[in-house]
Amino acid sequence: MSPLSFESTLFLSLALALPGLACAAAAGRGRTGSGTTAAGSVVPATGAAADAPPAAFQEIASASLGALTARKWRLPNGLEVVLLPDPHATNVSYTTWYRVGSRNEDERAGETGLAHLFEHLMFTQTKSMPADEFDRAIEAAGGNANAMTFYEFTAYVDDLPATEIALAARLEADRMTNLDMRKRQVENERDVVVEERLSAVEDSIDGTMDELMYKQAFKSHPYRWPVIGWMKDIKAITSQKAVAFYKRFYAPNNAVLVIAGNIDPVPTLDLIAKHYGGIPTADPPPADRAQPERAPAAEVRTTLTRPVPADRLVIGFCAPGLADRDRAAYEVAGELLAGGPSSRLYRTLVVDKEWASSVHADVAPTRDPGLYGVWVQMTKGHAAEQAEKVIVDAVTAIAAQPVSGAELAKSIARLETELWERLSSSHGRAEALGEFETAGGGFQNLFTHAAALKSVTAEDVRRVAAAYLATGARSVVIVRPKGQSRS
Amino acid sequence: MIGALLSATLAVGAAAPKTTAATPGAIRRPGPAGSVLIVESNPTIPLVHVVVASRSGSASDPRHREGMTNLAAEWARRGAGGKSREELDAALDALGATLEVSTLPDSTRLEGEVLSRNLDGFLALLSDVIVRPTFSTAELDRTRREVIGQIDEQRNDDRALAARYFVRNLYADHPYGHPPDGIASALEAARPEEVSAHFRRHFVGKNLVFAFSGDVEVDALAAELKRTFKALSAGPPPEPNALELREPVPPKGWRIQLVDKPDRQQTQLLFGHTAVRATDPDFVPLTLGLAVFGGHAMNSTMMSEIRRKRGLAYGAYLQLSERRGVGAATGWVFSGSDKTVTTLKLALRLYVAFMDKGVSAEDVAFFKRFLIGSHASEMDVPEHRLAARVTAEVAGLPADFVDRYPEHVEAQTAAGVNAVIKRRVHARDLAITMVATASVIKKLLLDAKVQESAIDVVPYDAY
Repeated sequence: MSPLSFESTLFLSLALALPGLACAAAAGRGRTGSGTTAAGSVVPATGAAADAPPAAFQEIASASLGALTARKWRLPNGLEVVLLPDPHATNVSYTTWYRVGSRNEDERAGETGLAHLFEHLMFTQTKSMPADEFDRAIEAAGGNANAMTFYEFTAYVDDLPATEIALAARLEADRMTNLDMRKRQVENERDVVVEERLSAVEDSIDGTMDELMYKQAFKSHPYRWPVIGWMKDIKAITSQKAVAFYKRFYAPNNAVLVIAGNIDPVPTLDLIAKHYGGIPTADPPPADRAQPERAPAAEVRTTLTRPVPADRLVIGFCAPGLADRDRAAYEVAGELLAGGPSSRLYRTLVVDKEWASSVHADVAPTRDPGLYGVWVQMTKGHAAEQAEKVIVDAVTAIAAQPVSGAELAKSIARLETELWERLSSSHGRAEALGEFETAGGGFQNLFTHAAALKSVTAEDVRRVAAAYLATGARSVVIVRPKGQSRS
Repeated sequence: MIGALLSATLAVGAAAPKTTAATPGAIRRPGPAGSVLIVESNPTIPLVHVVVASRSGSASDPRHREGMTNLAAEWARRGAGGKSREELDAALDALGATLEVSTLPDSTRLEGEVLSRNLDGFLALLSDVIVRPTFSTAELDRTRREVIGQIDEQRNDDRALAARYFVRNLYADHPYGHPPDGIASALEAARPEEVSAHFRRHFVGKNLVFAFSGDVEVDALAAELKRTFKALSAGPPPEPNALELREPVPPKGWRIQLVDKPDRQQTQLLFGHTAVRATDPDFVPLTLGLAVFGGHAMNSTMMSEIRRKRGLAYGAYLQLSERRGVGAATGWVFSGSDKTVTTLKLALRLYVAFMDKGVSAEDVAFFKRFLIGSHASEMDVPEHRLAARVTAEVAGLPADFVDRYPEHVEAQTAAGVNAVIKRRVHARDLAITMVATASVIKKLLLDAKVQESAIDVVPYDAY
């Protein structure tokens, strides 16, 4: 289960935990940058555009994978823009990523949940636009506006007809700097988030387990508190705190636009220069003081009782961050453990022993070391501890012995399919590029992923399994049945 | 209503978006053994999405065998072409491919995706599953236990649980009145010979739709399908389930089903009534009218009144299902236990007002633009596009329905929509299902003067 928190259910497809790996290419100022060929190798980019972009922009990076080419630009006020055109697309996904998420909150001050609340507050009025006008204008143009928050980012997603891109630019530029929050609206949206949390956590078995898995694993890092925030903190958010948060983090020099779809790059850059070019640079946001924490440091566990038909289990193992050089090998290890019907854990627990009705796993797309969660739904009469032993034995086995070539190739092929699946729509492309840009060391790393996967060896898999999975450290949460009305 | 929310700056009644990028054209032609083949070619991504759909879904389950259609397809997926389940799984994974069963009331689908360079190998495995399933008795027993385990697992999810109970509350003994994955007792009773015969009857060429989207060329694909599926029987197509063609009996009054689950802090609330078939001329205008009321837009009546103005819920929606038989208008809202009765009363009051007063021309113009634009975004996702095409095909809609959907929406008028609302919306006769803790919610309902005889309490693990 991904800890991503979404503003609404309009787009429920949770962002897959796409791996990345460090991209050595510098994305510096000027017309030099990095590019990636279809084969995935990093090469110098020419930076030359077929048509001249607005003079205000500097091209700072580009990368390609197959038929897809993304390029990155910067305005003098610090706003960055990544464009990925596709003439076959039927729409445009216009996304705005602020480099602020729950990691920028202060748990000790009781201020968790602030970043996420902005998913809601950003849809109220601005100094130049009446309340609710944003949604009304987007929807009247045939668009959908949504938002999502994560540890490292808050993203606003407008999917709309390509002809309406100017509307998105105007509205997004306006609320980047002109939001005008009112006390009543803050209180109303706070109530909505309370309902959201009841649905996503309090009344959700997986939400409850996910929250506990992270909380007990991390001792000091911001990943220990949920993106949506603790309930008591949500209820205590005031309009004064919200205004201060907005002033601190919402500015062009703390944002990147990622636009994918049926666009023409030069007119799109013109449009962006027109709407955003006059927004002044703000003071830099406070430095991110979170120290990466390799968690959990030891075995930690919690057992709960809830109205479930049979035991449910999640185990969180330490995972490398999205840009870590171990990430690709780690993803392959995760895939061969629980990535498909022939994966080791699925085969053992669901097919052979029939102790479980489902097994799945994911690795969170975090900037710092995060967690790889393995989820198991036991069948009636089988205890979670039985599955836990199978999982521990499985990670021990792949840490001890290199996997076969066939098993390695199978896992890599499945991950390649997942990557292309994610890149099959404008929405998916914008989301993946933005995630890597804000949490994965740069959008280019998304495109180097295919090559990185192909270069993973059996020894790489063994090494990362030994370093991360078979250490004995794990965060375990078990839910046992309670209150069944029949046996 | 929406009109009241519009600011003066809104160009009410303005034209629809100037242009909307066309959906990628689909080619529809005969497929192997009398089937239909739908292909969308786009080489941008080296991936192919695949759906093979039988035009028989859970509505074709025999009486007292609820879930058998799904069980049969799951069984076929677990060993075929001389390969055991384990060997078949390994072969698919080696291609980087996925292949899963998805059963809906009107169709049973084998859905997957594969790297385009591995498509031929994938088609060979797919044909094994459809044409040469092993049907080992031991594997049926294991499949049956797995499906029952997955039904149990749904009880963890209140939203899925509400949907499971709601279809029974709404459709009763109509073939749409049970969940597609079935009922444990019926699955346990299914005999191997009847399950395999059921599969062979429904997975014949004349009952199948093959659909592909992605990096594929239509002529080469057609030739490969003809070769790979040469052993596929053409048919005859199965007789339609007579019960499926029957009109469901609509609920009378407000029929409240309270699914009792301990320790709930929030209530999942579904309400609805039967409406129209997808092929009915009322389908598109009713879709448009219901979008005004509960479409996935912040400006729909439900989202505006329940969430935006009052903060009673995080989400509030209502939509019309696209079915070969009589589909349903289903509303969904979830609200804290202490707000449940307030939210329920508000939702029902709004729906009655919608039925009685209809929608304004401004509302219709606004939601035309919204539906047409949203369609463009929906069609940008190959998986969604393919699913929409297959759903339209099995519902009996014209071959160009998906591509011409914006035109169909654009052609509607406020007067026409309101006439359809009068005919098709039944806000005073609703099935209502709530997943909640009964000891808390029933008292609140009684306090609100709901008659006890209108409330049916059922345990959450009873069905």
